Amino acid sequence: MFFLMLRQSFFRGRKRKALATLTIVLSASLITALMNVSIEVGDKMAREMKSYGANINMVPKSEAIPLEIGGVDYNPLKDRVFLNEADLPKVKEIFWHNNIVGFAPFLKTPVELNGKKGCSLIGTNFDRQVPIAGDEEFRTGVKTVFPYWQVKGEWPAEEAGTSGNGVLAGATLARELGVKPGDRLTVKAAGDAGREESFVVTGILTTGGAEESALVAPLPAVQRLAGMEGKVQSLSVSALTVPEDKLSRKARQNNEALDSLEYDRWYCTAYVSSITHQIEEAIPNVTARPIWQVAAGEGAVVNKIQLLMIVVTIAAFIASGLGISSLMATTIMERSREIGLMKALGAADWEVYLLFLSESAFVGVLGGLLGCVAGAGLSQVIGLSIFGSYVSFSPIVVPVNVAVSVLIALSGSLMPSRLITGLYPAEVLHGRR
Amino acid sequence: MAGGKRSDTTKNAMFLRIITKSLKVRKNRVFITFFSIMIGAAIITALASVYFDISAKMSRELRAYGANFFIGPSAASGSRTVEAATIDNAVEMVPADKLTGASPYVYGVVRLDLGNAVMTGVDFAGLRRLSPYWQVEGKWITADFDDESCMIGKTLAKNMELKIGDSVTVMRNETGFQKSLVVKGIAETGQAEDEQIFVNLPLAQKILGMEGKANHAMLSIVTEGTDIDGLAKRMADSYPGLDAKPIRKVSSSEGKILDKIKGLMAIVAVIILTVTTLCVMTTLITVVSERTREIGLMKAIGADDREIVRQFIAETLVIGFAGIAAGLVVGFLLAQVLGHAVFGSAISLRLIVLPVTLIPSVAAALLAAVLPVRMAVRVVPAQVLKED
Amino acid sequence: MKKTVLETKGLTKRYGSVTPLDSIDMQVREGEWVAIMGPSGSGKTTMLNLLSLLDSPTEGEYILDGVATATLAEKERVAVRREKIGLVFQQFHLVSYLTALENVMLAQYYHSMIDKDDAMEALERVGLGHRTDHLPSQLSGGEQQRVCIARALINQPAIIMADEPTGNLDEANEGVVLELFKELHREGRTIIMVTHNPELADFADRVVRLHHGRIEKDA
Ligand SMILES: Nc1ncnc2c1ncn2[C@@H]1O[C@H](COP(=O)(O)OP(=O)(O)O)[C@@H](O)[C@H]1O
Ligand SMILES: [Mg+2]
Repeated sequence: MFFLMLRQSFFRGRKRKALATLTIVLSASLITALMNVSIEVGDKMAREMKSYGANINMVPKSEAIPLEIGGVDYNPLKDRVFLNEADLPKVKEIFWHNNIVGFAPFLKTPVELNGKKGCSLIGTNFDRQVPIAGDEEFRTGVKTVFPYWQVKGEWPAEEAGTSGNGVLAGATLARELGVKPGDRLTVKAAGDAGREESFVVTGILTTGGAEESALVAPLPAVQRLAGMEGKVQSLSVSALTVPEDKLSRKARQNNEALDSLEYDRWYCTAYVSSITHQIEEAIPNVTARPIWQVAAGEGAVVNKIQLLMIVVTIAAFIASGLGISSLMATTIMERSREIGLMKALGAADWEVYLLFLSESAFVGVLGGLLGCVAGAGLSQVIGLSIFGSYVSFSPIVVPVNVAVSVLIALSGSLMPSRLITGLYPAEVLHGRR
Repeated sequence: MAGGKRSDTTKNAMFLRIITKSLKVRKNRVFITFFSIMIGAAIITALASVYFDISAKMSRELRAYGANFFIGPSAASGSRTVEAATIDNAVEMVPADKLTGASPYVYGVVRLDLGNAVMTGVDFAGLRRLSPYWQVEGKWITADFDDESCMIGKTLAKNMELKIGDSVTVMRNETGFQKSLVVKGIAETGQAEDEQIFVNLPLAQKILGMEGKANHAMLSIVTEGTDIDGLAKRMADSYPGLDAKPIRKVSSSEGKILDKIKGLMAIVAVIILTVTTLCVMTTLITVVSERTREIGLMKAIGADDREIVRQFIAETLVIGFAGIAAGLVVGFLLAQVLGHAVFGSAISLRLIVLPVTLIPSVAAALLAAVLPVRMAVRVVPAQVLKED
Repeated sequence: MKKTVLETKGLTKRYGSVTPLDSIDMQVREGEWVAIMGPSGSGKTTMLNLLSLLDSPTEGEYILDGVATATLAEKERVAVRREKIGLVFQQFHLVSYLTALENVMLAQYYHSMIDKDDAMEALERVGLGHRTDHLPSQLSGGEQQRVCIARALINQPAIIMADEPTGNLDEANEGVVLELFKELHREGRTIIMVTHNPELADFADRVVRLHHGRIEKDA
């Protein structure tokens, strides 16, 4: 009998019930989308933050301290240590290799420029193919690592076999020497027996850093000129990291103080400190250091945005909860006469509750499930339009959403059901209330 | 004529009476409608407030990335240093509420116990605000008159075998100056700072023999609402010896990130706005549909369709405006809660939020009221009256 | 011979395959009291709805006070009803949030202008002078029906149409309502009343019997 009543009552006023369900679907889809985006926003924003440049710097392990002020070395050491270029792809083979967005090697050498002493020539990769295990096509260089580098003119060609040596002139240097794209420069390695080579300026480089007062050329050309084939001085690495927290700070202070559980958790989390640790493990005799300006700045900002999204999601959650509650309340109030009649026919209060609440629960489950589907679509819309990439769907969202939808629908129905069942049947039946 | 006037006023009085009665007697429904509109308006207000403030707020948060503005000697001056006083004056040109932090820098090579190192003189209070990303073990130097202490970069500390609390003798060959300093903190940045020793600016100037001079200054400026390129130009114009420029690495990325965040917030706000509006509409539609019979009756006793629509619009407007007014207040408070939870600061009240809340709320409420009424007046009264 | 106020020719109403009203030809003269009787489901309410312009026929003509109603727009139908017809319902149909007095005034409001004294008088006439400020939910069925009658009378309509006005009332209240109708009849108003009660029909000038949507007897 109860089920008969439930079925009957469910099909009564179908239009408005459909409206209520639709609203729950929409709200649930909104919440689903927001939850999905909040879960992913950290990763997404971390990727956006890569526009700030490298967050890890890798240098040879060396005892010597460079004495550099404003790009001028006051202590040019003769016996400097270098990194082997052949070792570099190993950076992309560590545990967190997927989080390594890119890297750019650097080799700086003092040169004489058209006879002028005291200039620097920097060699690096712009966007070069670096074959690594598992991805033969991997390309990387300053274009990925330092997206804020701006070139007026063309980037030099760096593929093997291209004729003509292209070079970028730093903006400050170009201004000092009056160099324009297309000009030819004679570059001679410092020292009496230095080699000499001729370069064509293809573009003017603006970076806001020391590169602006130097020449920047493809790495192989610089290695050749300096006679340091296969060597680089440092490697700038851009990695996706998660913000620092208690554990990573503890690990940083004293790696040994971690117990094995903590160590595993630290090692398997993409903290900047665990990534540098893994790089040092993978390549012998190097020091990998977080560039805290980028790493910590990123952490602070990503944390904020994540918090913002969570708080907004909670606010939206509460708002749509209250909205749906009042909607359910109106649909119940609308049926106060029916409730009066049920009571007049001898239904106990709990039977009335049961009827209405099971109906609401049903609407809640249905709305919640459909909402999850719609929300999965909606989160892709957000992901694509803001970050230009898909947002992965977190399964945890489904049960949370359905449970909450049901809860909201129930709580919305409970209040008016109580209000109405509390009345005498006669009052309701005769429209006295 | 007078009679016509009198009957007009009584007609208006009757209209008011119908509305007030309908609102007063149907308390539960009116409350639910009010409540639902209030919630809708509140969430729209809160999100709009946050949205319009987000750039300003995030711009401040992005200052975590440190200096984004550089002041140094101009290339034309041919000098490597500038007067510290000139730098101070130039820094004054930045609006105080936009300046997060600033510090002059002076550099020189000194001899420590175990070898040479670069010494940097800074204003520690400014530096700390300028570079919140410094990872410091031990303590920051707090007093700007402290000439007994220093901070040391992590690599340098390791190479010189220095720990917090150790003292180190600093010597400058050119000036013959010698002084023993206590290591108060060890700093790590991952960049050149790791190999430097930091002391207060006046002390550094004395040691290096560069009294009143600085090599350059770094500033951290909130870019939102600041014409940073214009500022650079004005500075260079006012002080021809200075080269003032934004630091590209930080300032250009900042714009990109802010755009992303704004876009994210906008789309989130629009989605929430749409769904809330729909929620409010369905509630209103349900409440008004419930009155189909009343509408049929009014038609039966001779009411024009227009008259009926007028009554429902008036009722909706009354509840709507009350709800929206309450919603604006609640929403603004909610925005403060959001602001404090996320940014630890208040969200400013903007007039633009008013129309952004008002227009969709009123439009939704009216639409939700008029739609079912129009539907009800189209049905033959006989049919409507028969329904229970 | 009084003039004809209302005339139908072949008035028919269909709902799909159901034909609750089938080719009704009927004339009502000014001042006449017509009772419509018939078993439940015979089409009485359907007929009254058509006559009071609450519904429109599928076929047939209906001329009310010289106006052919078939071509009227909905707006004009409302206007005709407002001017000429007073309606009394079996379920009273009062606006729940307005008091007795306000319910009567509502009809004035839609019709032309408000006159509170007139409305009071109408309520006094139906014996409710002391209950003007009560909401419908605070009134008994008989009292509600009397408010409904007062509302029907307030604009001085030429024709009163009532669908089982005593169907929900006890005998005492039935008597009160009957007296009211007698008085209206004496005043010369045209009355069309659907009823099950033969006693009520006795006072009518004429009884129209419906069966399966057709006029079975008209005398
Ligand atoms: N909207 C409708 N749709 C279908 N059938 C209807 C509708 N309204 C009335 N009827 C049918 O018309 C017939 C006459 O109804 P009605 O005029 O209300 O009878 P009564 O004489 O009891 O007042 C009934 O058989 C009823 O089922
Ligand atoms: Mg009937």
